[in-house]
Amino acid sequence: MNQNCENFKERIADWLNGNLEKGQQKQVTEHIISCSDCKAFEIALKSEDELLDKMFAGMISDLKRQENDVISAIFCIKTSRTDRIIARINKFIDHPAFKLTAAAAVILFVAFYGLKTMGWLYDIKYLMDSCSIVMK
Amino acid sequence: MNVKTDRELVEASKKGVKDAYAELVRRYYKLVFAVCFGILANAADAEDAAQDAMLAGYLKIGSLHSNERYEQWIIQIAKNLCIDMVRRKRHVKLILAQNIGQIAVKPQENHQDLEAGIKRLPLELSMPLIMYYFNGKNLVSIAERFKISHTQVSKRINEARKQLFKWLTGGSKNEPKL
Repeated sequence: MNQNCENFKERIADWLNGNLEKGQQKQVTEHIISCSDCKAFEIALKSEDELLDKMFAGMISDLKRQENDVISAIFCIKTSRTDRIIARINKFIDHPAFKLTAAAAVILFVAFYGLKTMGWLYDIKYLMDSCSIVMK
Repeated sequence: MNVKTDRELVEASKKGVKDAYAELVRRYYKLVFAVCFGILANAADAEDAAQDAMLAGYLKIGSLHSNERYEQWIIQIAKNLCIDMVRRKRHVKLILAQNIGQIAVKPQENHQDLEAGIKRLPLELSMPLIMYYFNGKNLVSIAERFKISHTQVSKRINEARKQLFKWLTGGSKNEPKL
């Protein structure tokens, strides 16, 4: 084994990772055909990759079940009465109808307060009183 | 379909919407499991730690100040749980060694050698390797996650493979570290 083979081993690993350009792929393939050491290294790396693939595939296939276990546990956790009340209040506050009503209430309050401070309200009251006298 | 951001899901979870937290579990369980496996190198322990981390996250979600940093926060919880687990195991082994005179040996499991080999790798090599297999061998997504270049990811995976290969073929006499 020489320095050239050491460089090729690095490339063989890159090749397995799919991180090698086409030109370099060709060089690696040609070298593997002519070098038994590098061929053995390639076979060993491939079998290690297969082993790792198999091990992680087993884990990944079980992840959905584990996720579902966590989710089921979360839905089983009973929250305290206070937490439930706070959650309900928050949900109520977040509702668009509540937001709309709150906005309307603020507008009405500002309008009413504005009329009152400007004395218009008294004019309206005077007008209404006058109308009632006329009606009588 | 309206896909909610992590921030929106965290906000909803803080208000007690369990479905929102369930969505966060679906998004991050795989990553949390991979981190736990990177530290513990044992599938059963990683499952325990990852599930505990996700549940602890649900119970402590109110203490998360930056709603958009859920990912970093839940990973930190998982890492702390794994470190606690490693410490507890060391303590138990020490007591067993003192009392019985020998260290308890776990029953043979599948891929035990591989798991032991992964455990011996430093985290900067084991994490890219684990993420590589967890993310369908996608180097680009790993590079983005670790904020390093595509080539660096490939180099770390190669180095991890080489070290694993050396240990699996008896190239090193050192016992696996706990």
